Amino acid sequence: MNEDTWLVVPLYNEGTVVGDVISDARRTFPKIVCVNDGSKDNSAEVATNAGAMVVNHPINLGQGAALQTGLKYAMNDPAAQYFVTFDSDGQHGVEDASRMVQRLRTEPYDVVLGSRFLGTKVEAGALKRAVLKAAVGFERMTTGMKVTDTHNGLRALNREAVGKIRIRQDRMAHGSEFLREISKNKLRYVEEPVHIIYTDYSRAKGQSVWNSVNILADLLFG
Amino acid sequence: MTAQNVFQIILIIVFAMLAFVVIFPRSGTRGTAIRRLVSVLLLLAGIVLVVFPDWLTAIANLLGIGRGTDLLLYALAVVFVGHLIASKQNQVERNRKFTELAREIAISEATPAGEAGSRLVAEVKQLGPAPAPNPAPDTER
Repeated sequence: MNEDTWLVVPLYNEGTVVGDVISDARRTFPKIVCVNDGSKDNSAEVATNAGAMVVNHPINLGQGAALQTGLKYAMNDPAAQYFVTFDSDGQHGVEDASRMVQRLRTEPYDVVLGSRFLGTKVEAGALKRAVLKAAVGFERMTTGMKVTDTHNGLRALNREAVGKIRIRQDRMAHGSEFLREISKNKLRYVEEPVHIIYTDYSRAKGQSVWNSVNILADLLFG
Repeated sequence: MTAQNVFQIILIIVFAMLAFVVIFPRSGTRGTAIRRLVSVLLLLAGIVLVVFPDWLTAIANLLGIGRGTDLLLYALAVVFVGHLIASKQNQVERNRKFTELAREIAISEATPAGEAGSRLVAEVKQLGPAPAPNPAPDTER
């Protein structure tokens, strides 16, 4: 049981699945903070009953903002050494997160980034893979970071990393901003192969390719 | 280089400086003061050109532009686009402040993390061993 780690889970209208995600995760990671980003359903209640600490945004701000709020909240726990950004919809695996935190404990890294493309298990559709590969190229050009998966929400960070990183992109461009912040602060990072579970549920609600246009606009214009 | 060319270059430089000031507003005392001065100058220029419309045509010809109204149009386009960009930057800055405010409220309303963390750990310890996973569904038909 990782008592020195907080799971940071942005939560927006995932009342149907978040309960299972939390009750499953808490046995390995008892300290879970769900940032309820103005959900319209019963997400907050479900999360609390399942055993998470829920922090409520007064209005919907976006996933990036929710992550930054969760990280800032968890840093206030003096016992917290490690932090994992974790999705509320069941796409991320607790095993993967556990391994990533263990690497932070034993190896000289500040950040461990999950990657779908290091291992052999890739479940995304062809178009989505192509878009993600393009994002990798863009990332390499703009920040010089050599990353194989630029939009993976599963990340483990140590206290130093969270202290230095400031996510200002409220909405979906936070993925790229995370990498820029890592590069800017010269944090030591490594990738870990992880398995993203694309269920029918997550596939239906997932990030559409159209959203990539919005993310690019956010990055270029603010 | 003729005197006209020199004049053209000077005016283009002035235009560029104007565009720069409009597009990249600096916050703080100096930025605000500069912007105010530029606004007043533009206003005065506008008044002068209304009283002496021929001057606009003269300046336009110096720059190699046909009509005074064309010059006015170009200047208007520069100021407009600059304003759009400055306005957008302002909006982005405001949104950031707003988010920080909402974040402070959210965190201050929640149980402090140290306390909440201890409670959660205690709760999980009390759960006891994990229930046995459901047996795999019978796949034989």
